[in-house]
Amino acid sequence: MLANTGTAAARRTQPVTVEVVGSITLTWQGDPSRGCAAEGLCGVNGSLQMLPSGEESSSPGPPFIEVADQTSVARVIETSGATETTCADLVPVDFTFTIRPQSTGGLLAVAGSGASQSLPSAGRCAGPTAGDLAALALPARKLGSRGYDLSGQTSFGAGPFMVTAISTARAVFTQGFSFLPGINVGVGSASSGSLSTTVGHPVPTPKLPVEFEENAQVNYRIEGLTGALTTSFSALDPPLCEPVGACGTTGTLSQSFSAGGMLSFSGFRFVKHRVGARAALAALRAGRLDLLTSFDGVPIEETAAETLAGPNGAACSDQSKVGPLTGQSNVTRRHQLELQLIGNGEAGPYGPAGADPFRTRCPGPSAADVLGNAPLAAASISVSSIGARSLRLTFRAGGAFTGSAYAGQRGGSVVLSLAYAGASAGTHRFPVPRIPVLGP
Amino acid sequence: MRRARLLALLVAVIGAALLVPALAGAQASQGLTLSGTGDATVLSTRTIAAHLTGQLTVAFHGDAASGCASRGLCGYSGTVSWRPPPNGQIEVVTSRVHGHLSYSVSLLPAGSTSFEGFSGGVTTASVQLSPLAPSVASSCLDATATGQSLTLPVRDGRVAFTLAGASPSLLQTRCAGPLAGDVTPELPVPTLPLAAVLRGHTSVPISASTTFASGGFAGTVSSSLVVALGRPGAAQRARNLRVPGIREVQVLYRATVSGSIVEDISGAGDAGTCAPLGSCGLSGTVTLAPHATGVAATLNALGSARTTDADLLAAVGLSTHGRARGILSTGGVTWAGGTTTAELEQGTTSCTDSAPLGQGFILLGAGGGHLVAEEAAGLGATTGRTRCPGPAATNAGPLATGEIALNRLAHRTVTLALTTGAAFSDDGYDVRTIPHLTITLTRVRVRRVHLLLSDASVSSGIISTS
Repeated sequence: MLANTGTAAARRTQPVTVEVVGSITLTWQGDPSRGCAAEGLCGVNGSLQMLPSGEESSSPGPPFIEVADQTSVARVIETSGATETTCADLVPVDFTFTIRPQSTGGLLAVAGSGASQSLPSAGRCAGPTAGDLAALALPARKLGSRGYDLSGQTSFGAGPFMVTAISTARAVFTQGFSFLPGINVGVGSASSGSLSTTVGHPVPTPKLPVEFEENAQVNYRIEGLTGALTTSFSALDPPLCEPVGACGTTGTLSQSFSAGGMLSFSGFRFVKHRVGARAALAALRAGRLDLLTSFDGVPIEETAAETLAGPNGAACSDQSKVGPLTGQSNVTRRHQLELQLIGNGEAGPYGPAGADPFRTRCPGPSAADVLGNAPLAAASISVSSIGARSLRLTFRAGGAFTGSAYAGQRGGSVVLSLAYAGASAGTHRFPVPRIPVLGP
Repeated sequence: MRRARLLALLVAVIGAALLVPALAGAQASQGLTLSGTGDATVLSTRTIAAHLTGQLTVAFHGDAASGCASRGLCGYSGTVSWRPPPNGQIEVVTSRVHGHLSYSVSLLPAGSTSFEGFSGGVTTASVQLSPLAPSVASSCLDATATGQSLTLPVRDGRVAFTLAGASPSLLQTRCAGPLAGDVTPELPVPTLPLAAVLRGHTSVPISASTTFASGGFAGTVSSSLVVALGRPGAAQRARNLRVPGIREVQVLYRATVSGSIVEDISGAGDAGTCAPLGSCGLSGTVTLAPHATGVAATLNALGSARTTDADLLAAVGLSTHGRARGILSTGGVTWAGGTTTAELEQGTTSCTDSAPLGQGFILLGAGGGHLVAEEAAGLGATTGRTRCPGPAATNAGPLATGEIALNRLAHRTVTLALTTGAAFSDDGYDVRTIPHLTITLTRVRVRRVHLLLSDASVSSGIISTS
């Protein structure tokens, strides 16, 4: 969004710009009092520094504090006896802090969680997962109306690690969004990188033509999600294994899942005349509507259990919760609907940068190594079966993979059991924008 | 302010790129007559899917025979490797320049959606310095985002698959190590006919296992990289669509850039931050000395349909009659030339090295009665790394800033001094810049241009001027 006019309307909608400056450094060490010995992680020392200087986010609503550093690096030195292994991995971060009052008085900046957050983590190195570091919270002090001071030091436990965060960060609020004096420009979706620029006066909202939309939705209650996906892996030969210190390691990863809530199959299409509910449902089952499966109300939680064996008898085992995962659907061919379980977060250079469904606190391959651009698992059903009293969807994973440091094999399946919970259908009027308007 | 600056940078860079042929043919003039459109026309863009595998690995050590002693590099040894992301694309842009067809070919390791995060490949380095002191070991561990795009030269109808034209450079990290230019001459450069590239469905191995000795380092270079071309996409013809409701005026300049930016560098004071980079106790300077004469520069003013020529000219300092309010005026200077020199000390070790500066950008923006210039090295540009260790400055703001009154642009030749520095932190380093940079702009032409949305560039969100 962009406003550089002097009109009252523009002033009313002028966004607040939040610029986060300074740095946030996370360090972690295996902590005997937190059980690092049992997991084989006592020799781990790691760090990651986030330098959001210059990042700026802008929104017309309440300001949110975004920390984004596409070049942050996890650096880990793991000592086992006389052997020292080093690992460095690029871990892009992009998450928001929410300011909350503390029960003991004062304010706390709490790291966000959820599908759109790319939280810091140890990447493919040994260390805390993104889920662990969702516990990051910094002391916050208000700087009048000019922002928040987030500087300070805090420590917290993350599985077998003790994490220390040292912050010199400040969130600075300003009105408008200018890169140089007198110049206001707008950047559209921050996550997609798309750009929009408006020059001159705001455009009046055009009156949109109206069409009829035939729609149908069938809801299912999730009864269970059973089974497990398995991944066995081993490090590639030197030098490919060296950057992440993986040479000589082998391991297995088991992924099991739990889910609740409702899964909805919905479809729509534009029609010339109103259509009854029965006809719309029939059109859905006949594959005549554009189908969409909504996983929005389906919090899928994953438990990843990894065991890793390294050279000289080194071993590591860990179990981590990952979530929420999500799903998507595609009509692969007529009357067949493919549903996919996918990882979390926005795509970084090597795939999902958020809560990686393949990462635990042990070193190991990432989702990008194992999946590339493929889904975690996929199931297929006939569109005509939508509306049955019960459905069983079998999500399968399989095949060999070769990543940048690891190679291996996948297998296993999970079964999603669904029970019919009702349907709705009909026609409603829908305003249709014709073309984007770029200027007056 | 990074994203806003990136937008301005994008506009400036594209503008400057399209300017070069127009500038070459322009006649110097004192007048303000608005003239016609430019001479370079993009005809089509074609992309071919590319699957990338393998890795480039360089193992190195200080080498007396190639001059490590004079540079202070004898104590360094380590491994640096670049790995590409699995899926990218080849982009072939066909243009007409002065009536002749011209082809530019790029390998985009992460495809064309890499604007936001500069994503490309990843370079990882593990470097040791010994002996720093009898009881102190120093090691540097780093990973950087590199190789966002690789320019593949086209000569005599053949496309050369070289790693030399990568940006950012494939071996660029914060650790000491060889420059890409030290090792790429040892790598094979396979070529394919352009027609074969456009057909896709072929593999190009860039495999090597060889040695190198250059710039104070020697070692081995091994590459298992393979670019597997997949299915070609349909050619996107560049049917440029005029963006309605926007008027634009472009001022073309010849520019000279001289002077220097001195980066005063010290290892971070916190051991937790400096130890992984091996930068504890390090101090010294890195001097960026650009050298550019007669390069293209531009300043564009964009206004709504109601904006008059006088308004647009006022926004670029060439009229006192119009109203500049509400007009977006940005531009820039781009060049490739100059030197980076590092002079660093750490304990008993001192490192002194020089390397080409690489590409430089200065953003120009007019507003509030001033013309502001920012040296934009922190916007993902190559910031002048040498073989010595040092910060990457990828998250830095402008390293140098300066401004003058906008009405000074009424003179045909105007000089800007960029003397305001900046301070920033990078992983393991604290940096303060001391700039003494000078730009001289000589106005060549003022022309009316149309903001175009090219069919071929819609997918990548590129707005161009023509």
